[in-house]
Amino acid sequence: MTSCETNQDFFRKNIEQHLDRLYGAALGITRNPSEAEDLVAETVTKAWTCIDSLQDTSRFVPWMKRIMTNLYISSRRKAEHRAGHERYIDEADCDEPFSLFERLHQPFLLWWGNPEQEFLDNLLGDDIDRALESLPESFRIVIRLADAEGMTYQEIAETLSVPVGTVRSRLARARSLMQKALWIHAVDRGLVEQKDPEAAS
Amino acid sequence: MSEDHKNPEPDEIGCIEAINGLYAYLDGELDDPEAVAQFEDHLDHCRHCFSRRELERTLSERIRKSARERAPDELRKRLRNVVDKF
Repeated sequence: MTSCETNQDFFRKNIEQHLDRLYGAALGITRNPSEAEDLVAETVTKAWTCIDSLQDTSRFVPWMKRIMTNLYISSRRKAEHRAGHERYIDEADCDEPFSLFERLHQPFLLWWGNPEQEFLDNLLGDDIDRALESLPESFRIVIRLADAEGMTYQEIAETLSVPVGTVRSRLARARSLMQKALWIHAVDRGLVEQKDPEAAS
Repeated sequence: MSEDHKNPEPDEIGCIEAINGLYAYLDGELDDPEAVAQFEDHLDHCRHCFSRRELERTLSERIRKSARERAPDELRKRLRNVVDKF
C-alpha cells in the first residue's frame, strides 16, 4: 500500500484487479456459480473486517483465498452438523493407490504412439472438471489449493487447520482418486483401446 | 519399475524413491538441494520416471487451466456496492 493510499482504496483496487481469480477459486470450491458469487461476496465482507491482519500486501490474493476457504469449510461443517452428520473427513473409498501412468502402460492396451500423450491429447477440460467434481469435497479442495492456487503444503495446512502430514497424505489420496475417475471416464468414452478386451477383464 | 532402470549407486536414488518423492518434487516441497539434484539426476537417466513426471505435471497444469474463470459482471457491480459501504 502506498503512503497516501487508504485501506479502502487499496482494498477496492485489489478486489477489482483479482476478482476473476477469486471467483475462479470460489467456483472451484463450490462447483455452483450462484454459490460462488455469494462466497466471494461473503469473503470480501469478512476480509474487510480483518484487513489489519494482512501483513504483506503483496500476498493479498492468498490471504483472500485462505479466508474464502475457511468460510466455506466452516459453513459446510455447520450445515452438516445441523443435518446430524459430519462428512468433512477423509472418507472416500481409498482402496489401492491408483496411478494413471501405470494403467496406461498395461500390456494389453493398444497405443499408436506415446500412451501419455495420446491420452492427454484426447482429454477435454470437461473431463478434468467432471473428475474433480466426482471427488469428495475435502479431496477436491486440497487439489484445488495445491494445483490451481499454487499454495504450499504449509499454507494449505494453515488454511484447513490440519497438520502438514495430513495435507501430504490427503493430496496423494486425492490425486489417486482423481486419476481413477479420469481413467474410468476415459474407458467409458472409448479413449482407451484394448488389443484383446478379454485380457483386461 | 522401468526396463531401462539401472541399480542405483550409493549416492543415487532408484525408481521407488523417485516415485515416492514425485509429488513433493512437483509441488516444490523438496527443500534439500541435494535431494532435488538426486531426483533430477534420476529423471535424466530413467525414461519411465521421466514420463511419469511429465504426465503428473501436465495433469496439474490442466487442473490449473480449468480453474480460470471470468467473474460475472453482476458480481462485479454487487461488490462495488458492498465496498462503497465500507
